[in-house]
Amino acid sequence: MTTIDDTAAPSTAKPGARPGGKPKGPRFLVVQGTLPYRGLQLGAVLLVALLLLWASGLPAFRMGQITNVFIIAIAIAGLNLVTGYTGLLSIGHSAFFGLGAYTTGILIVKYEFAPLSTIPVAIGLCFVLGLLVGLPSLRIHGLYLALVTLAVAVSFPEIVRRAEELTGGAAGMVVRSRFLAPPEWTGLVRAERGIWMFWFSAAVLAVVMLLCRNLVRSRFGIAMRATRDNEIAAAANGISVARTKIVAFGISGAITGLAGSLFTMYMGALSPDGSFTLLKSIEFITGLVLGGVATQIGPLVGAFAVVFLPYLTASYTEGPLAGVVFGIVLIVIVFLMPEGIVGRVGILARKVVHIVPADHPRLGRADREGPPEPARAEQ
Amino acid sequence: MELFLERLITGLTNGSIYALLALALVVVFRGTGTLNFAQGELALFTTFFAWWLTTESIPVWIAIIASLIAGFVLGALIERLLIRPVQRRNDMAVLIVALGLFTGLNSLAGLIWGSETKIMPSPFPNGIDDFVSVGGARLYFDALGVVGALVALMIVLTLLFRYTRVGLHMRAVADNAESATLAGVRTSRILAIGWGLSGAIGALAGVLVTPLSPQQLGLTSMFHVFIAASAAALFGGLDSLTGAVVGGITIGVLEAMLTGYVSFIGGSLQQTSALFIIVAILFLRPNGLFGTKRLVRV
Amino acid sequence: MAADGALLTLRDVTIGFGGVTALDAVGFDVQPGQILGLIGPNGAGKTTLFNCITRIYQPNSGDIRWQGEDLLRVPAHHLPKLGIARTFQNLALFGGMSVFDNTMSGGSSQARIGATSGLVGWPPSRSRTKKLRAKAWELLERLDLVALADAPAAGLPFGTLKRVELARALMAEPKLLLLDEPAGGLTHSEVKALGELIVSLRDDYGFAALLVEHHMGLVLGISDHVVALDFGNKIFEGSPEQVKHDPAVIAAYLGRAA
Repeated sequence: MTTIDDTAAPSTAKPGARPGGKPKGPRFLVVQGTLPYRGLQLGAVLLVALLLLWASGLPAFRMGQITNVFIIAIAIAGLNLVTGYTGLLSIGHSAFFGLGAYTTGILIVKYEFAPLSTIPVAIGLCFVLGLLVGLPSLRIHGLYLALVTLAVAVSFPEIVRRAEELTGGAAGMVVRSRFLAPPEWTGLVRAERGIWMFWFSAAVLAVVMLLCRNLVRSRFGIAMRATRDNEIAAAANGISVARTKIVAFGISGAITGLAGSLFTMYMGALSPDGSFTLLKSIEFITGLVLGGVATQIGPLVGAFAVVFLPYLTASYTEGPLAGVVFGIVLIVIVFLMPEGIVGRVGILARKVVHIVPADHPRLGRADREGPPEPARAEQ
Repeated sequence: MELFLERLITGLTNGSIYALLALALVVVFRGTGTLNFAQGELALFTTFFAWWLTTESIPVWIAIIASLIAGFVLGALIERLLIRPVQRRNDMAVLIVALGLFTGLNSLAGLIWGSETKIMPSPFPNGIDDFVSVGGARLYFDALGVVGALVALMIVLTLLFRYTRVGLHMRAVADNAESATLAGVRTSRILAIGWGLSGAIGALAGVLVTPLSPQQLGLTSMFHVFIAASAAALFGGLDSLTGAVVGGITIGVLEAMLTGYVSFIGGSLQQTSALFIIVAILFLRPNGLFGTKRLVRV
Repeated sequence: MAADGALLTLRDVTIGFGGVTALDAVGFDVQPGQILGLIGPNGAGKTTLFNCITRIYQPNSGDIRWQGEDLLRVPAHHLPKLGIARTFQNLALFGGMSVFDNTMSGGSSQARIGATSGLVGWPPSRSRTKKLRAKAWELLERLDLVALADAPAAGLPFGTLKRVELARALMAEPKLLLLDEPAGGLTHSEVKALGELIVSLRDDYGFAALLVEHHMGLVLGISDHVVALDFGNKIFEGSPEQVKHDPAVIAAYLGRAA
């Protein structure tokens, strides 16, 4: 372990040692790029791999539920970009989810595309729709924008029902399982579609989480958060707020659309009033808020909660108890834990472990000259 | 010609409903500066309540009045317990709470009273023969009743805001809550009254719209009304009563005419049309057609 | 560059709002490396002038030139690229970000911000980010903020946040730093420290500064040159020594005191 030394003490100080007078800091400091850090990363990856392997051994129904969790997590990760990181509340992401889903469905059923090759198309269309929905955000803010996205969410099932020729209308559309068979290179047969979708969704989720992590940590991520926190200051620092908002919406929509695409492959059947209504948007938002807005793992945690909640509640009563629970959860979270589960865990974790970037100027300097500096600037 | 008049009447009727709910939205906005996202579902809840009362052999008019009271109480409670504590934090917190209410109230209504469609009796005579002939078109009594209710409410609200102490206080709080408190206004009570009032207005809108609608009373009954009402309220920048009424009537009539005369749009694309109206208004005037500009201080 | 080497030139800048003339043919220059103090009683038009320069307002007539080029055609978010950075009167930091990230945001004008390159972790973009990070650390060291680098900006003391805003502004490597009432909300000793800090930063980094300020001690203490406004008119331009004795300035302030 390395220590960050703000005083003139030599770096041979014991790990975790606190020179006198310093306020209590985290117990362990881990520097990015060093062995302990890589060790932690490796450990996390191994843990996840083990969990996945264990999950793949579960009965088909459970495996299916977890696949659903992965898909919803991808959708929520998309929402997180625009709502969590850019500060634009969208109640319309069910429309992206639906557009992605129906694009894949229609391309497979009507145009005989292979399932995997529908994905770029779905992503592309949803990206464009995202850009379009992002346009109003240039002039319209806050609750007015939420209203626009609400209307988008409510319009989508309508349009689907209207376009009967293409989408099967209110009756829905079925994608025969022979079209959804696992690709040949996996060596799986049609009946093992569940296994294929489990691993495929997990892989896509991993890639999406990696991409989102990159984006948030990049300078574009700074632009997003600056736009969220103070638009005028963001502009004063050279950020094009308009471009940031539109692009964020585009990427966000594309990712949620990708989830929709996977959803079609997973479900095999689509109906406009099934999973593409306003209530789906609210499900996404609930998952996001519960898991933790503007966190990396929050979408996954939230997805677990949101997928399993209806099952838990269904065992208690008939009727829409799930909606009531979602409503209560949303309200309680805002009051008690606005940072969400992962946010709260993160705060606690930071008391114990502090991750230090590799380019921090104070690392391992045994030969510091000059007077000791206070650990916290006094004012 | 008769067809045109009938469509016009339908449009005016629907428009009055939208205007009613829009008035509720405006009252809340003036009081607290927020759009109450859950307004439609609150109205739904109180309408379910009214329906249930009628199944317990309570006369329709009494059930309606009870639901107005319930709307008032619920609205005030929501403001006091759920909205006020998070108002100070940020816009998104209030929106999330409103979303929670949206889904919570909707599902709660379904949970308590079941989600199957229900028939809501009308307070006005609404038999096949209960109409008056106007230029060859049929003006049904219940439609007339709705428009009448709107007019009555407009008068009541105008009188309230202009001539009563409560109304004056509400305007003061809406304008500048701090100064109002310093001037001796019981701001806390006024805020609750504002939300309570809008809850009652919403309840009225709910009980009036459901008997008219072919889908009667179901869990999705108020979605479209809420969206149209929001669009209507935006006509006035969310703080103009007149704007809301004008907006509501306009949208109602527009929808009826489009449904009737433009065949490929048809009934079920109403929502999308309302969407375009909203976006168009907000794009041209981000603070509504008649709204006042918000200053952002840095 | 303008003919006489001035960085920022204002000529006949005039703007009115609904019948009130907020600025009436105001003109002056800011030279490279110069600290210019802009003073005047409340309502004199200092903030309005400031907002014209930062492109929040568009003057009705007149000329504002930056290094000889017309600044009035430039939108607000292009200013940092041109070398003009600003701080805000009531602090406009990004509450949801750490001190370090707030500082980094100041470098947004220094390199293209690509979403795609961000998404995939494009190496050339990452190395640009690395260089900006090194710059950010350097500024945090200079401003004694390293220990707080990871702290969320929200919740830190006001005086500390002023330094964070300076760090953020300096990331843009400005030739001109616009300071909007930097002394507001500070105690006497804090103002003195701030003044020394501004001068020392100017000596190190060589920027010019335009300081809109009420605090006479600060303005007279650190300015190389002073411009005074009253009722939208320029009533004085000269050295800090001279402004103390100028009858027009004294009248403007004393005349308003009652």
